[in-house]
Amino acid sequence: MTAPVPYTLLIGMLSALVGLLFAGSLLTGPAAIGFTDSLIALVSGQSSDAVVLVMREIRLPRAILGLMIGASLGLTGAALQGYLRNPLAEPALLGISASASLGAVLAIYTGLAAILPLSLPILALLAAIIAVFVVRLLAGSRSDVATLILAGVAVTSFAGAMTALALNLSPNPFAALEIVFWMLGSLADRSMADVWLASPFMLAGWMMIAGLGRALDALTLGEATARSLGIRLDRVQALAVFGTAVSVGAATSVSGAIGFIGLIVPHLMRPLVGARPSRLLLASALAGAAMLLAADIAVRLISPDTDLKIGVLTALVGAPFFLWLIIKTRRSVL
Amino acid sequence: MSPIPRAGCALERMSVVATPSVNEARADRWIPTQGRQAITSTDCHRRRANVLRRALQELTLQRDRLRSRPLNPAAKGKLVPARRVNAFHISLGALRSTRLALLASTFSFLLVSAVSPGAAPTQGEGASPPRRVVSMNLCTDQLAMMIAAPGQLYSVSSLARDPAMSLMANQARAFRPNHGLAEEVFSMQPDLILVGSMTTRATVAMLKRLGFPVVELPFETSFDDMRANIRLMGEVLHQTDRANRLIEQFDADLNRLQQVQAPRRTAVLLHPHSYTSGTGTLANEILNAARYDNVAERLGLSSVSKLPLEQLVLAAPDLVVTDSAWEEAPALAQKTFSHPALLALEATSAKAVSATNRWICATPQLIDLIADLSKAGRVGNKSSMSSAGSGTRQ
Repeated sequence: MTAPVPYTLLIGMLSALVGLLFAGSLLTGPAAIGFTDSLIALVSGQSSDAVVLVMREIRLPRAILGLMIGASLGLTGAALQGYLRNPLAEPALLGISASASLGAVLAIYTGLAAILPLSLPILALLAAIIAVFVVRLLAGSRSDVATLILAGVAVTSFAGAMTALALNLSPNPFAALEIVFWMLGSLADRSMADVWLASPFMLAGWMMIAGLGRALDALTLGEATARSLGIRLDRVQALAVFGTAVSVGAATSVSGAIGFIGLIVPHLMRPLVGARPSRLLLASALAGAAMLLAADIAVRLISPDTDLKIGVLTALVGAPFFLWLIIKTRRSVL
Repeated sequence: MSPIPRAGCALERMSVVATPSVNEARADRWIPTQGRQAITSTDCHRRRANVLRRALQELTLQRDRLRSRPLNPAAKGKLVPARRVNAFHISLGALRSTRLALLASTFSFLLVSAVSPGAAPTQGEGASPPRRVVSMNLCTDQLAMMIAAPGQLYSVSSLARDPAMSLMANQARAFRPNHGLAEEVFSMQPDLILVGSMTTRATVAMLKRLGFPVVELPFETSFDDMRANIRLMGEVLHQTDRANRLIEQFDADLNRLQQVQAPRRTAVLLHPHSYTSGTGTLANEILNAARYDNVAERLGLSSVSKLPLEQLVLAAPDLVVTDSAWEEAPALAQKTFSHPALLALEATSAKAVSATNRWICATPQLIDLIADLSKAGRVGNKSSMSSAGSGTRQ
């Protein structure tokens, strides 16, 4: 299958889109600041103190996190779908995001994260790793679509229940309200501290997955052929699992679980890159970033003062898409 | 045994397998026919509405009550008439979807409780003062402790002993604690129950059905509401003089604080989760009384609503008041308090950390909070307004 758009052109267009949306994210917010004012404040700091504060400490971290988390979700979605050769594989559907939430919740509400900030992303990614292994264990090595999704549902609901339990047990009456945040995700009022905490892990995860391109291409021919082509499957598994867990774990620990981006984006990009998993990785990362940035802008425009959760929006778009995907897969299987 | 329409119960028995036998055994043993008619049907009804635990509680209560004394005719009239409930049951029998049935039965429960007469606590002028008062709400606890005569108040809620929430934690130790459960309040056999409008609705409804006089103090959103509640408390406790003295003292103190000549400044309250109090809240009235213009009010926010950090930073108020509650149990809710943007705001604004227990209840003790607030930010740049201890103003 040949790509309808040249690969470099596609990547260029996606990068431009991400750049535009990044700027859009910086310019969107409840505080009315003029276009030039905000850019001057952001770049040179030559504006009133309050405007500089808003731009550099509130909007910039939000935009950076939107870009990085979206890219992580898109990239891991593409990697998981390629590695498991399963069109429905996605961090949120497989319970990886929900488990990472659980890890983050344990770190924050026990007070561990206050003493040792690094424990937050680390516990989240540990929980994410465990989730991947449990799903693999439950689904078995054959990993047909239905079993894998069932295993993911089981892990998601278990992790969700444990998160709710941990939050309900907290003596802090506000903790129980935060169940919504951990299940639906939000980027509201994040700070640069969150960026410094999560971005190294997300970058590390990207590195691990970036090296998978050739192996994923070979895997489309089946495991036996891939092995005969010199692909070390154990190494591929380790990189895919740890890369996903590290980047999604870190992302979730600061934003909560955001669903469906990892599912939709690879499917949208696949026809555009000619269904080559190695090319899908970069395209999905960029498209994921664009989608999350767009969703985060939309959330702020739709209801500026209620802090609508991003997961609500992604689910509104993602759930119908998911249904369509199920129907399509069933047809092609039959 | 009089014929009891069983349609609703039959349906319910299919969905709940284990409990009915236990219930029926108890009902057979302890409840005479007339009582059972009412209880069994209410019971089925409510169990289907997924309040199984409470229904069992009620049954136990009824049993104990019937054991300890003869059924009093006044209370009997307040039980829900069986036939009215069963009309709903039969129509519900058609609903097969569990969720629909749940919704519908919850709804019809509301209807039924609206139909059944509540125990109206009419305290006539000539009636004798209550001698065994149980308060079930943190705020009624504190007002009652200030107004009740010695020996009149029997129990206050366990929250009143918690120094994180109550300003009278020490005084509260003199009374038996209750945890807002119908069963324990029932066993105290009070002759007056004080609740707030936020007190667990199901419990309050049950206590009313059981025939206890319940007085509900409305939620206060202004000093006028507070004065009205103090007056009401004085009336139901037959201590109008004490209540009036409290109000007079508060008004005098408030007047004195208002005399201070100082320019009005701006302030904002920042609660956990970036919430703030705007127009129509008691907190807003407190800020105004302390000669502050509430930034939330200026931004057009009413009641308790979200204040985006961006808007707070741009408004740059003279004083930011944050909560200090539950610092030992971390949650994301309090993360805003340590956001770099807010910390940077301290360069231009004063910041006051105030104990939550000072803001919760509308009592005359608010005067100390108002005094502290009007001093905050004037003396130094930072000030901490911790709990005012447990001093009571009599």
